[in-house]
Amino acid sequence: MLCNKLLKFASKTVQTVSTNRIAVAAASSLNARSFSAPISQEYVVDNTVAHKTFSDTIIQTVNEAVKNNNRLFAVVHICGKQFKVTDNDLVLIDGYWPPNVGDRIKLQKVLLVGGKDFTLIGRPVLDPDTVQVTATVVDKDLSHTRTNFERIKRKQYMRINFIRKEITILRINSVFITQNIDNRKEVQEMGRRVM
Amino acid sequence: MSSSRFTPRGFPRVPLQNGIGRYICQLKRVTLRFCKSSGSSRGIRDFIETDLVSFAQDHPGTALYLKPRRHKSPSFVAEYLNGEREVISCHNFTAQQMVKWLNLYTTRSGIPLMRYVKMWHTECPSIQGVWSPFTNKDPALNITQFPSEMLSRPVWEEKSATEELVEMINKQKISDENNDDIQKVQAAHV
Repeated sequence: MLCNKLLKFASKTVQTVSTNRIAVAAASSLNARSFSAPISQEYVVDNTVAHKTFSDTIIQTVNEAVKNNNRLFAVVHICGKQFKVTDNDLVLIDGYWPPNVGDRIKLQKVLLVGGKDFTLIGRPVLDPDTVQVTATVVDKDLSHTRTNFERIKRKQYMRINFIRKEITILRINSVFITQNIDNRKEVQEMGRRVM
Repeated sequence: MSSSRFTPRGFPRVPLQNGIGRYICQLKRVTLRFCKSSGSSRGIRDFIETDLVSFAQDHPGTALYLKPRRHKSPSFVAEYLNGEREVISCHNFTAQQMVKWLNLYTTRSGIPLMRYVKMWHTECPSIQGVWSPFTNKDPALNITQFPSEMLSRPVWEEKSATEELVEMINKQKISDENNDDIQKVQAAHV
């Protein structure tokens, strides 16, 4: 998943050759001293195959690590905030949020998933078929009374408001990697968006 | 005036590990107290006539009691599984207000109101290990003798103009030698 797209482009490395060899050529043709800047020539080496084997080994080791690991963590984006969550975590969401108590939710904006010895980083979001983060809404309440005080100096303006915002507590039920990480579709659908 | 200074503060908690297996409504009992004749109980009486049955059907885990009390101000008592008990005055409430406040008290967990100092609670704070300044650093640092000359040098030293000039001259010298060598070789060939 990480390297699939990268591999599509033939990756090329640039190798700089020492100036001595070129100096020989220049000297032999002109048989004179050159005062210009030394010429540097670049050789482009095609190492697509090496890159592929490298990424394949990484993907394989990560797949094995996923099988061996049981506890994963994820960074999820909920309601404009990012939380690092694992199983049985509590996440508190401030302000109006429609889900009701007892609802089971699948969190789709997963920015990062990690185990003990690997981390998958989304660009910006991980594939929702591969990573599954589920949660339950456990508590809906109003916050304590907050004082909203505003004042403009020298303008005889002062307001004081008391507000109680809605608060939602989420229980994270599970963080899973459901399939091999390189098992990715060409076109990915995510809710209403197609990526 | 209530202020965040005087409300008790705490971390997000949920009683009885609620939500790990399934969600359980924490409200166990609601007692509605009202007067059958007074005007301030009119909303609560409307609520009892219209919405009470559907409310009871929606919340099978909650016991509902009605307590008519002559010439008393209306209120309801919400009791929770963790033993907390709250009395809410419904003086001059409308039926809609009754629905709204009852719904709020059913979705609550019963933990007393507090100011949350964190938006997150976890039992497992770190999976990959806690970061320290020495993670992913060269272990050779462990046996370095201090003061060390290498480490006390500035991280980035700019070259002076003189040094750069000397470097350029040296470079040119080398290329000159190369050229001379080539010329010598060519002369030998000729």
